[in-house]
Amino acid sequence: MRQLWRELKHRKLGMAGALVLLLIAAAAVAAPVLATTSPTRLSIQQRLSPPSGTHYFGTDHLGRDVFSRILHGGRTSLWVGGLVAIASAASGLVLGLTAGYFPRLDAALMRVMDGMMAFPAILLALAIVAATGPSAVNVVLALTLVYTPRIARVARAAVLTVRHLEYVQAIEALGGHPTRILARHIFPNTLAPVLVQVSITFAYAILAEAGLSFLGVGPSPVEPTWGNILAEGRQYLHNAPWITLFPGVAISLTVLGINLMGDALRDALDPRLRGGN
Amino acid sequence: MSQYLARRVAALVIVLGVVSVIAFVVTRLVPGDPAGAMLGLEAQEEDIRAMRERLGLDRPLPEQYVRWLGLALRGDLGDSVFIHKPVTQAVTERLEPTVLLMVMAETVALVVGITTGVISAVRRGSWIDQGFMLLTLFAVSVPEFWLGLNLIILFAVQLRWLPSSGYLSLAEGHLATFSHLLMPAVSLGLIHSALIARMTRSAMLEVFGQDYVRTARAKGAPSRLVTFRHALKNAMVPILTVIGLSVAGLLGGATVAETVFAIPGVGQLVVNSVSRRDYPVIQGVLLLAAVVNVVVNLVLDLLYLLVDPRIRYA
Repeated sequence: MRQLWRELKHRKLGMAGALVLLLIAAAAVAAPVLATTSPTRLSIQQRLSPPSGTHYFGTDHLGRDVFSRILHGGRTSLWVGGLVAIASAASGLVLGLTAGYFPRLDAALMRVMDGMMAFPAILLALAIVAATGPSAVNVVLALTLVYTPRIARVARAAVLTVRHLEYVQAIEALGGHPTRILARHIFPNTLAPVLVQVSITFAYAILAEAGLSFLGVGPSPVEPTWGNILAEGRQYLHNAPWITLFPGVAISLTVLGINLMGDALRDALDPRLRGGN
Repeated sequence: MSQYLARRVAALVIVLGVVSVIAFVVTRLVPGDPAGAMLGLEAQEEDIRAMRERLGLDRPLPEQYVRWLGLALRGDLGDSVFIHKPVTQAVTERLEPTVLLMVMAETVALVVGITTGVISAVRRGSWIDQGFMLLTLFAVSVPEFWLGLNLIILFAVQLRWLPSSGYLSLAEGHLATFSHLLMPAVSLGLIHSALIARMTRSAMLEVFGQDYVRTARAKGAPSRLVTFRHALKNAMVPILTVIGLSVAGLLGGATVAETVFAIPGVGQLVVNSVSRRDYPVIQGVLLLAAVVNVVVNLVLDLLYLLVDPRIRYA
């Protein structure tokens, strides 16, 4: 772990990405303090007013302050993204470890995963949320289902690389319990590739939440998210472009931060690249 | 070879079976009664019952699946509840813009992706290489619909060079079709070029390290020849893999792009069907998208054999 940190410290872009993500997350956490007004306060007289000293990012079609909405929206967007990353990591790891370790289950599990991955991610998520109803919870569930097989596949591949090594066979010969072998001796070897995949999932999930909101099945507009602020601002593209500009920048910066971090993590964890640039 | 082909087709059939179960189950996740959900709150009791019977919802689930699959295999995906047409007909009518959009977007993605990837690899470590690689990271971080909206603001609202939305079919004039699809294809293609650029770069760098490239260089072959004849040709296999992966992304991306640019394609049909609770259409398109994706990927896999004669599937 300490060695990983030493590797990461030298990757400036990765550290810059982490810093951006940290700042945005801090702003979202501190939203109630930083926001200039309530994100849901209507002010019809001030509808569609451009960015100014009182409304840093302007106002939307109902006169709500876009700056405050983006701060509060960041909470939901990051929460959805983070939850999807954690939940699909957990379920993907369980499925991947099982498939990789127990040959009898492998083929069946992986064909199901292949089947799920055959669907375009956004279409499958759209169909699931369309059926279960648009809400933040259902978006998290749908995206978790969509991204689980991708993590499972990475975890399984990592298991297969160590499955038949001598140290695993030795513990098996000593009569170690499969659950214990998986948890203590195989799981640590899957961590590096899974961690990279999880960072990618986090980034994808934030983009996908925005996409689903844009397609009309995201969390309800009462609860601001970056995606639904953008979706609502779309009708005012011609006379109030700031409504779509700022949430778009927020999403892009966050995802860029995660991707820079993920890239640095991948390079730091890849022994072949260690010591390079 | 034929044995390999048989194995691949067998795997394909199994995956398609799983796909059909998922596509069937997804639309049954509707809490309560799908028939009631489709007809809305004011529906009469007897109408709901009639709808249930028409859709076969009063039968046990496995029986419903077998019946649905049997019809689907004969090309019958059921009828749309809202537009009162067979799903296959509704999809076919809207296929032209979607297919054109995907082909144009893939062309943009390939041209941009392979060009930047090759330049990056040749100029490894230079500021051009670092700039390109940072750009690819930007490209995968931007929501595709937001990129589309910004293109509309720039090219349609400010500069007035291109139509902001809508579509004219090929029958109404090739140039008009092209100009309506240009912005959506570019926004979709640019985002998808990122992965192709990164894969091209790393595949080229790998090949550059091979002995035969060094030999070619040592015997004094012009560097242009080495780059394209020796290196790019051999880097094509991993590049083809990424193209296969991008098909699913393009299918989903087309859905979003058609919504942004108001293009009456299959993607827009799905999005409209979501708000109309037209489950047979959602189910049908979901199934078709997965089948297209799986089949295209199989074809690409078989193309490896042509591209790389070293690959012999035993």
